[in-house]
Amino acid sequence: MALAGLTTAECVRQPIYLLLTTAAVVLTGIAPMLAMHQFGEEGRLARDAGLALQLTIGLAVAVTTASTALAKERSEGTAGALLSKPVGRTLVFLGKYAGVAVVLLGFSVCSLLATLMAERVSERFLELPSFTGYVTDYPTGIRLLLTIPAAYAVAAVVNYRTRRPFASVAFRTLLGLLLAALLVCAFFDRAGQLAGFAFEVDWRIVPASLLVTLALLVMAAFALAFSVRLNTVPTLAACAALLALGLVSAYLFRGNGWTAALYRVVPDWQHFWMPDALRSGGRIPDAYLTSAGLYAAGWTTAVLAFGAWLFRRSEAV
Amino acid sequence: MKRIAAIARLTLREAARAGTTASLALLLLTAIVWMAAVIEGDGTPAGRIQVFLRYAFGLTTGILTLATLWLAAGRIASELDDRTLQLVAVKPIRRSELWLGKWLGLMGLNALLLAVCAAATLACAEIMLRRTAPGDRAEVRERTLVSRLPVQPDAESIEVQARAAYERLVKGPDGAEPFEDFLPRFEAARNTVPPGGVRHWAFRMPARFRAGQPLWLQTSFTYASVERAPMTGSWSLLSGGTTSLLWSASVSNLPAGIVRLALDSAGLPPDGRLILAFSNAPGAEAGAIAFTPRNTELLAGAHPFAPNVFRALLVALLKLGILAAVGLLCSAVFSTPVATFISTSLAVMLAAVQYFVFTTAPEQDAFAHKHNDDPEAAWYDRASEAVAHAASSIVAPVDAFDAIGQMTDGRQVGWPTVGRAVMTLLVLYTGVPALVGILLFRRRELAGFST
Amino acid sequence: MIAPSQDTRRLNVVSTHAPLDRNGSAPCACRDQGETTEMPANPATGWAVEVDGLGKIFTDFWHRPKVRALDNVTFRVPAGGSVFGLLGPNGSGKSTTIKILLGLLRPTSGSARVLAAPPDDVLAKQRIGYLPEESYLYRYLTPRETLSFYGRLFSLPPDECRRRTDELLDMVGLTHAADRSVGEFSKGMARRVGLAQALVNNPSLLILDEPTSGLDPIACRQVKDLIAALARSGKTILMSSHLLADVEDVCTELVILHNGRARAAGLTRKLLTQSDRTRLTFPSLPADTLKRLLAAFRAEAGADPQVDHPSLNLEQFFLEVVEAASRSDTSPTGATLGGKPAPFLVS
Repeated sequence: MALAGLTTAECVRQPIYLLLTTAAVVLTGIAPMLAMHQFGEEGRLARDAGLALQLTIGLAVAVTTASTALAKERSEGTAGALLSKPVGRTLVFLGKYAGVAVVLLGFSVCSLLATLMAERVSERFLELPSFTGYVTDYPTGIRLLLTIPAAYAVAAVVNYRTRRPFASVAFRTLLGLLLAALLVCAFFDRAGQLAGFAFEVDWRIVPASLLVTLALLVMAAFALAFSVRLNTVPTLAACAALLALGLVSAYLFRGNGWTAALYRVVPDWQHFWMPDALRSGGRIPDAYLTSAGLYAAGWTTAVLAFGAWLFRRSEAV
Repeated sequence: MKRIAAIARLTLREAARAGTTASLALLLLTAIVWMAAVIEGDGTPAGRIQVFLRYAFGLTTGILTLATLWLAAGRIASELDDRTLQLVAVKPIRRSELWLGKWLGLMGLNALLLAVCAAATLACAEIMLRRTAPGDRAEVRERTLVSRLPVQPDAESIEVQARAAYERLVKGPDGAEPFEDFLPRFEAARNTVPPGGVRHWAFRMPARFRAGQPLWLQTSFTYASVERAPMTGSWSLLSGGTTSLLWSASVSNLPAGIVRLALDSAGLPPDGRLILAFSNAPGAEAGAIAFTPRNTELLAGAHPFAPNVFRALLVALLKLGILAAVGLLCSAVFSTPVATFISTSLAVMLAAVQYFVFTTAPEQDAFAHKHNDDPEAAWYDRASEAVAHAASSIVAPVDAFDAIGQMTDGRQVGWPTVGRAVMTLLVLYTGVPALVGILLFRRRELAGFST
Repeated sequence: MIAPSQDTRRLNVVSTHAPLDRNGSAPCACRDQGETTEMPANPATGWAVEVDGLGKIFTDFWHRPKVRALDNVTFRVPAGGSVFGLLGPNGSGKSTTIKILLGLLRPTSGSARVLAAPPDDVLAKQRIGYLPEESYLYRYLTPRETLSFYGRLFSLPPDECRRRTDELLDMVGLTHAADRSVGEFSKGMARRVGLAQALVNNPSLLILDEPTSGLDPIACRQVKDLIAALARSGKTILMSSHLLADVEDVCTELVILHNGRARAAGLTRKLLTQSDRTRLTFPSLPADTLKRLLAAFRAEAGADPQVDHPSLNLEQFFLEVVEAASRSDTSPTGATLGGKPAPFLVS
């Protein structure tokens, strides 16, 4: 727990984590405002863009936090001090992963909240007592985007008054403000008029986001295992290659024999990419969530076991 | 200069010893060879090689774009973090020399990788050529592995003509239609040739072009009739002064798209003035043709391909120099991950800004995002457009130097173009971030507080 | 400094004009916290370093003071053959002072001049050599390439650079590892490379930050001998350390910093001499002779002298043991300094 907490605190203080989370929220927020086409369905662009950004930027978050947790400690020499304490290497490795996982969950929650609000912003045809026609819920979009300067301003004030780290305060504030912005949405309809309390958001996005989060957790395990031996840039390159390969593995390794064996050794990320299932009112069944969860758990366990073995054999300096 | 060279050499050596050079080279060479194996092109041998060249050089510059940004963003920041820069800064070297040395080192790395990739690409193209049927090889060499001088038609002052027509025809007492909307319609009308109609272009050939040298016409068109009738008519080349016919050829049933025709330049007049004419077939044989504005040109001469590749890569290298300067600027101010993030985001945003530039008119429902039927574009629309236009105006001069595209199209990237690229891309677009970066670096304290 | 002695029969007798305290010590009249002894004004060779009222405050992002590292520090380092010590506990401002002198930091108040030029003057840096506290070297370069690189920054001609590189590598005992990456070196070996790069330009002013940090006792001794040799050849050395024995051994003058302020400064000998006490050292005597001598001493001086046997310090003893062992052991391991300064440094 102590290791996980230390890792989380260390990662959240890195400015890059705040910047990546900010980028994900901003890009998700402006996607529906810049859209020129609906791509056949209202809200689809915002939904798909938000989930895609969660996956790609989440990959960068996973790699940078894993590198901070391991590679940086190795290069700065603090790994030696940690490993000289009465705690096993496997426990250290798992504690690091737990910390990275918490960081990824925080990022995923921010991304999910932004996606929910972005989907609500996207243009749709409404028939309301007060209005009939196409409308884009710009007020929600502006509230979403304003959470960022507001979070930064709060963090600046806290840093000025109490000298607490800017990045970690800003991230926590951003998370809180995104939740608050979603809550405020519940008091307005999509045309921007005050209405009775009702969450007019597409909750089907939540399981899709959960699947992407599971993918990120598997990716984090890989990143941590790579970080035992590699620095940040090679780890990022390896994880990016793994992501690309895993997305097309079903196509590349179709068939029998050795190609089928290759399919087994690369995670199939398509298991976690389900935005298409939400088209035309579709839902992701709970049974599928369970099976994807088991798939993710299996991969995570295997990769962590391998990574822990590598870590036990490595030299701390 | 010696000190700058020493820093540049150190940068190159570090990149080599850290495995960066080898990793990038391996990645690029693997991608190039893989592409040569899988590319199919447009089904013709020349098309296949042309598409391969475009994609290979495009991928090389794309990967080097990201690599340059990341390497540059980490250059100064990482040395500040591990304090190796302190030991250099206390030597008799100016901060500007240090910064320039780092930039030069990155440019050296890019030049080396561009050279290696160019050699690999040309080698693959040569192999692809040798695997082509002997009868098709001549076409490939004529069409693809060549460099021709593009000659644009004389400026037609479309805007002046449009203004005159507008004053005469459209603008009434109440000024119903704005000129900005009339102009593109007028230009489209000028480039549309109805059945039986004729379209002329006037050219002035450069002095170094001699009669009898290869001359090609390249143009593109779309269908302008409901029947979507293909191009049927005749092309003629006339002397500019005497309008005597020098060459003529008929075309029939050419589908819409790019048209390439070999012309006969044997009768080129001494003053080099030519008139190119297209006569659309009359009556039911043909339909109206709309030529793409500013897309008709003559391609003159046939020059070796390799020197053209070299000049195009010089321009590409200058573009990479801008990115190196931006990355080093960020590196001089921020830590490594933050500098990487900021420089990459900046580059991606500026590259994507052209997609967000669009014209709006209040009555154009398709483009304006509306709220509650408000006929005026909202303030956030106007603000975002203004920002996008401003950013686009910064990026457009850089984008205008599409040397790789020109080279793979078989068009010459001349030394004047390289000279203009040096002034624009190096002096202006690299110089400004370099000055700012050096200034910020000079003001920065290189040692922090430590107990 | 007491020379190492094999004779265990030597006796010290210490007498004092002032009453001894119960520990046998007398209060020193030449040191007082906050009081600075006078430095000689305007030496003939000029000043290598002039620091006047130097202050440095590190600020946070909002430019509010975070740490006051230096507060009104003034001292002068004469040029030409002096070894000046910058002494103080950890966090006293020694490294901050050095970084300001080298232009790596800017002072908040006061001024500093190095070789009669501002700290960021590029031409003055031509004559300065710097050894930092940690050896911040490029890990992918070999020692030879490192020295060659820094030599080029000093615009040394290639032949001269090569010659100096060879001599310096020989001096620091790294000729056998000249072509290995610095990243593979131990801390001590990296330190030697750091020392070599500080000398590649044959500097007039050598600034050493904790020069003996990470070195074994033999290497420490050799570094101190090197410092003394360089001073004798006319170079000025400014060294910072919190190892008192090292500073006492080599420094002719020193300033003591604490909490960012100069607390004492002056010639080392003058600061440490207890001028109110006298010590006699002579071979051991028979008991009754000693008794008579002491009685006479008591009668003459009217004071009770303190009598004990002199002792070596641990460093001296260590060096004697190792030297004896080296004479009998013909297969040395590890890196050792060559012991002699490179010829170009003392020519």
